[in-house]
Amino acid sequence: MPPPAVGFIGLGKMGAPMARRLLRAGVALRAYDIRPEAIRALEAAGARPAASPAGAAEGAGVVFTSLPGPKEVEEVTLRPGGLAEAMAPATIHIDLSTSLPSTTRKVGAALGERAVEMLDAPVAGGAEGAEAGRLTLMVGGARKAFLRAKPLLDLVGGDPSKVFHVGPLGAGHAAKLANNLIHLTGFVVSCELLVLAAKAGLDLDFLYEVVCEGPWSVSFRNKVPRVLRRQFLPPRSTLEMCHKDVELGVALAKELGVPLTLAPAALQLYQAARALGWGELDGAAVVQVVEAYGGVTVRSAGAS
Amino acid sequence: MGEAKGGPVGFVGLGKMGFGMARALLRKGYPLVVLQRNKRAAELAGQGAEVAEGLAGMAPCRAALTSLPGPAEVREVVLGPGGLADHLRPGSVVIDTSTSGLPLARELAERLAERGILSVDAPVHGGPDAAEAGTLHVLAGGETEAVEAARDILEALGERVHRAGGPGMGQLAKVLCNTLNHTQYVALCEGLVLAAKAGIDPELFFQVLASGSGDSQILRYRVPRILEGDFRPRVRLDILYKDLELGLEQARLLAFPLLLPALAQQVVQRGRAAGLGEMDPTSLITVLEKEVGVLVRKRAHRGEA
Repeated sequence: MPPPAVGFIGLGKMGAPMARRLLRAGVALRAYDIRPEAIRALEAAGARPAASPAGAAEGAGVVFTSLPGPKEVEEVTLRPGGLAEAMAPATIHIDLSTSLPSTTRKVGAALGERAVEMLDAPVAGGAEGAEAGRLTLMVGGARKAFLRAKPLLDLVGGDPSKVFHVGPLGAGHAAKLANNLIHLTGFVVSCELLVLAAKAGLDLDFLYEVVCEGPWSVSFRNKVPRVLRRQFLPPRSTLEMCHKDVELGVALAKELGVPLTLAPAALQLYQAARALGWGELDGAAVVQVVEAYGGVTVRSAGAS
Repeated sequence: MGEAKGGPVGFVGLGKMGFGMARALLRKGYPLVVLQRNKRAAELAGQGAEVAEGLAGMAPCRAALTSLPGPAEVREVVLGPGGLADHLRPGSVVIDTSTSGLPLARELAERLAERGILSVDAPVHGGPDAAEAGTLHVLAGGETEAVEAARDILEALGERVHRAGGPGMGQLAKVLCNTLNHTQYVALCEGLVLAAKAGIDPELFFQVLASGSGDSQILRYRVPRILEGDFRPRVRLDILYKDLELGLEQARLLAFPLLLPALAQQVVQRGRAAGLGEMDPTSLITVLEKEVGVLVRKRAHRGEA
């Protein structure tokens, strides 16, 4: 059975490469973004343009959204004349955004009234992972809908072994938020220790090597080289996005009544970095807040 | 300096790590002197170690190693009355493999130098198994002469011997690694409990984390045991508290605020207050689980269908 025609709404840093992966696999795709130039770029890759989110749903068996957060997802789907009204019964809406489970369930309920299925399928792995086909997908929703959508989800992520069905609708977003809290909080800890090391006069390239051999984490391994080279532009993921991700994770904990000790403190450091005007730099630039406390800069001996 | 080329190797502190290291040295043909007061000394005597009644018995040693819980114990053994400093001969080397912090390492180096004794701080990465196998990673700090005098012994203990810098820099690197690791571990526990409360199967969530940005050494090392409910002590939660204390102390000396490690230490302290100090750090999860009424376990261990 050929894959159904799809609609794709949100062609940003993550959305565009994921949509291109579908196009490359021969999927017929209608694309929409609030920025006309983003639509044109995808047209060049073979997509048909849509004039609105509702337009992207025309004739589509599956509609993807890849949007900044819960506010935008709710706006695009539930506003009058929005996506929910345009989708036909028995079609599936797959939200690839990082969003809040409570928003997802609200949208899912509205779609359910029109017999439209919803899956939340947030992705981890960044724009590079999206380009390379190495994304992790955390999918929530009914198993039947998941199995129907699995071939498309595999195309979006690139590695079927990294497409996880983690539970009912909203579970995908919850898993993604908890995953984000772990590595984004962990990265703030890395920053604190790097600055302390610099202040104490330890060779930072040496520390990087030792940590990578010992108590490594993916976020330390991938982001610390950017810090040591002072490479905050172009952003892999902006500090603004990192802040939003931690904020959503803390919001989820609040909804569930789960006390968190470290994550809210990390959130405040991301907040401080935004206040200092670094929001559009790479998230690794949060190190600059800690450096301000320490009065030292963390850089590789070889970095200019 | 100079002198003291030959002679046996003394070993003080035969805990889980020390015992393994002592065995590795014996196996590699180093004549070893251990203290009678160590519970496992007799076991090592059976394998050829000489047993001394006190630290005076280490006088002929070319090197003396320490593997002790923290800076107070190391300071007492090396610089205390009748300590190693009083007995070792000039040109010999004290190798402290404990995690005891930069300030003590510098103090040892200075005070031992007054007697012509060399000093190396050589804390290690790796658990008791790696100690036994001689596959530790050693973070060596000290004057070049001291590190060179100790090099063959360090290489017998570890598959990697990193030169961190001058006196205390091995300790600094180790303390920073520990502080990083323990703090990230507490953040991981928070995330595990949050995901469980959100209804995600903990075993599945582990796989999700391991497949991407949430992956880490500590995830792979501890979470499988958390999922099994295995809280048997490989190390004790008390050690995490002590390690974090060393990190915070280092920061205090430099008037630098360490926010997340300070908070992580308080979470560890809650575990100790709940009576988990002697348990494995995996047990810390139970403190957080009880607050929100979830279990971060495999389905079979949660008593569900």
